[in-house]
Amino acid sequence: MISVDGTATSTAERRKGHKPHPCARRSWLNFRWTHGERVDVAKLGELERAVMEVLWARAEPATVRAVHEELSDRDLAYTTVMTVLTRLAAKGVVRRKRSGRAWLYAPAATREEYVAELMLEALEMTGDRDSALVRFAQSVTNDEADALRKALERGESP
Amino acid sequence: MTLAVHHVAAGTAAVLVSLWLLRGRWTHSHPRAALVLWQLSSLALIVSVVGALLSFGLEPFGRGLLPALVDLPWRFQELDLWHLGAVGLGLAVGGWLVVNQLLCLRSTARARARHRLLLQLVATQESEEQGRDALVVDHPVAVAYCLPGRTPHIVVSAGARQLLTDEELDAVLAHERAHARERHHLVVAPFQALRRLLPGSALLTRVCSTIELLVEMCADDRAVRSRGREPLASALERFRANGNGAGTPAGAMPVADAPVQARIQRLRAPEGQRLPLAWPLACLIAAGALVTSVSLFAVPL
Repeated sequence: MISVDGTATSTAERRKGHKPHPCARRSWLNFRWTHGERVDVAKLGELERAVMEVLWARAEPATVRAVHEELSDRDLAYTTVMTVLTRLAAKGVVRRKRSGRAWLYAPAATREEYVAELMLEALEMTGDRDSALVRFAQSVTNDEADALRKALERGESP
Repeated sequence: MTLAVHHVAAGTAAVLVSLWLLRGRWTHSHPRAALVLWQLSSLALIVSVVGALLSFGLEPFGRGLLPALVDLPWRFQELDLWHLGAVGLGLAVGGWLVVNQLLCLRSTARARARHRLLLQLVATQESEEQGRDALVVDHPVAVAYCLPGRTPHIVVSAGARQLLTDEELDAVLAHERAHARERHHLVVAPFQALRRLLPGSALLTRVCSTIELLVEMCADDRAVRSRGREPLASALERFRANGNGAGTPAGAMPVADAPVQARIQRLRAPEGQRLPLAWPLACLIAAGALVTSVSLFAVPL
């Protein structure tokens, strides 16, 4: 499944297309090594989002090739898409399973469930966890609170 | 015994300062000064409690605390049960506090990383035409918050944008930016970790919510400087009214009403109390207690 020339192409692409502005000061913190590739974290974040949108839009699990095809207008290397999917799986927002020789990827929860999780945390309704946020003020009606709880329960027991 | 007495005296001073802080009404007018004093006196109290236990337990050695602690593994059979118990308790309390803080730091960091990841996947950047830099989450619940970190994020929900006028929203964003810039989460975190250690303690819960309220007031003050008092007050008012609007069946959200009320009050009718003359004195006492306790660890006797 691994295309040998993929890495080389993607590196060349990055050299050509992604030139940092001379004024932009970049520290080593802005980069991360993944599978031997050096990838800009900000760009990676944007890609992760794009890949998730592809997965959410599809009804069934997708192979790397399928995702790569859907993102063809971005002119990405195959390995870049694979790296992003592997990272997302490692972070637990994407599930993967083997099907023959290929991996199939599917979102671990719907977009609505992730939004509900964010909101529950913002409202400190997640239980005993330390509050990781500093809030201005919050207001939630009881109907909204119930809907949020239900959304999260659905997400936890698929 | 002199060592232990000094620690107890330092601890008592710290407790007195904290009690004064809990009762004082001036704290709402000067949240920053109150926070500094809270941090000093809490740290002094913790160090002196651990110090008092250790110095009582290690007293038979007749040495300073640190040298006696170094000697402990070889000479502990010289101590009787009481002294050994005190040393054990002192070490356990000290170690427990440190480990708990670290565990809380880790779990908070994890929760934040997860939150940041999800935001990146589902939130949209607000249009920059008005110089706003907030992330918007598309959900009808009204909420605005700051996700702290190396690059802090300010997040508003679609519900909050709908609830507030432009002017109010700008004031709220200024408030959140103040949280991010002044690193308020670092002020609150140690107290929250303490509360998690003793979740049932009413006193700790009260101290914690006092600290949280003071931090909010600091951010309010900062936002008021650039956006004026009224937008912020009316934004708070709207949040409060919205939450209480529905009926309250079982399992209702406890909307923390009193703190919000206090914030609105001080924005609309600032009392303008001057910093009490006792404040520098209290600072001196708390700092003195802290320095005494810490230095007693190092002084060889």
